[in-house]
Amino acid sequence: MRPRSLLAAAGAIVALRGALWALGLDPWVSVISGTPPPGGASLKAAALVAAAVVLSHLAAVLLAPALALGAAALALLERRERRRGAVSP
Amino acid sequence: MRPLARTALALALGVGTWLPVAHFALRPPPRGVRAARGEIPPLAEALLAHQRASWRERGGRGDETERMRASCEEWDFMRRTFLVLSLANVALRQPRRAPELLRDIDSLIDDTLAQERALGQERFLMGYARRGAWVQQPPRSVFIDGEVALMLGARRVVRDDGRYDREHAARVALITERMARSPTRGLESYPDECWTFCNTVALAALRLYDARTGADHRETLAAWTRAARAQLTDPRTGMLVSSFTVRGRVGDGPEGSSIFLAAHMLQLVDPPLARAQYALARRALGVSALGFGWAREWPSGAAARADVDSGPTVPVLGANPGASGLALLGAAAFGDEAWLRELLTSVRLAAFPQRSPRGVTLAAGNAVGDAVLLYALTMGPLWRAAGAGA
Repeated sequence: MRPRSLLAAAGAIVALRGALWALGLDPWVSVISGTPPPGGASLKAAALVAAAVVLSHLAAVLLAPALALGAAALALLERRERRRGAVSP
Repeated sequence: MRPLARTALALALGVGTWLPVAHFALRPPPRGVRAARGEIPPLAEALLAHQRASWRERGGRGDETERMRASCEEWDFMRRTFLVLSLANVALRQPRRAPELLRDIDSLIDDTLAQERALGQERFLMGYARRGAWVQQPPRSVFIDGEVALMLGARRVVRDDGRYDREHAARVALITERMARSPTRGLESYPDECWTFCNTVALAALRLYDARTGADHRETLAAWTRAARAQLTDPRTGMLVSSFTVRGRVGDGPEGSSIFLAAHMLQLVDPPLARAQYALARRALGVSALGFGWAREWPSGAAARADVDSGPTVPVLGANPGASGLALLGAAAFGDEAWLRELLTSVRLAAFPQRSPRGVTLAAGNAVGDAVLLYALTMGPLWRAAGAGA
């Protein structure tokens, strides 16, 4: 895997989270506490939306920055090995 | 190095670097936890604004309340209690705001009493209150009587103008008389179901009444805590159990959604017992990891029985929203600032605070969760007025 792929994965997670937020779906996570979502949506649909919001949010906060740092680390490792001639550019 | 090993090492470095510092991005500043004298933290101010606007929406019967009642009628009532306690604390911290806050306190109390009169205590109880046989007659729920008495006491600490004297005295007399008749001193919240949560609220209400009026319920309070030490203490953990029958048969063991609140209430009744219970709960149920804090609903090895109070538990971590919400209250009450800050960091990560022109609400919770957090961030003056060191 290349650093660019890791960065792209981090970017995709953040973009997904941003899209769900921009669509105004955050209030649907109220189903976690057993409270029906606003607007009278079905509980099943709300649970699916809530799961997507929660997972993308946790991934954006906890995983995406780690992936970005991992991409930087991978780039450094690759550079070091290129200097040693062990990796083709 | 092989490409796969290199990628794995890079990812491990990324995760190992980020996770220990991620909490810094979410951690509230010190003044977000404990504001200076005469102030309240900004998050509390925003929660208060939303709560007041939401309460005024169609006289407390707005969409937010109705959605909450669809899940649990109790939450509507508990939200009122925690909001009244919060408003009272803010009014005591900031006396210049007292007149406007008193209008909301009175509106909350008047509406609660009116609904109770018109529809009975069942208005705020779950459906099974109508089934089953109440042991003490006539049937009454200490969940309602205790919290109403506490609301009235809080109101009278802010302003004692005679408006609620008779109602307050009557409610306190009911609790005292029924406790004296109970073999365990415990009162039912539901048919033959006594909850430590509700009973300790009622005890705190008696103490607040004494502080306000000069009455003396020390014997009632001491009798209850004696019985609790003897009959309601879980032998494995030392914590008070959550529920029991009128004759003292234990139902649910210690639970995070009960013990943190009970310990806070006991601060007014038996401070050494309160401190011991908080310390036990903190050790058995509290978790701190990577700058985040949460609470488990059950101690390890205990039988788990999820109900409407506990809500869902996050697998593996054991983090429970109900227990963690009330842990905020416990940590604030006992000055456990480090854990309080960690718990608030978790709130910012996982409770989805939503800002709007009318304030802040936690999307992952509901109005009662917001009110509990608001109370945790504003508590202090009311308990001090009743003689506690909170």
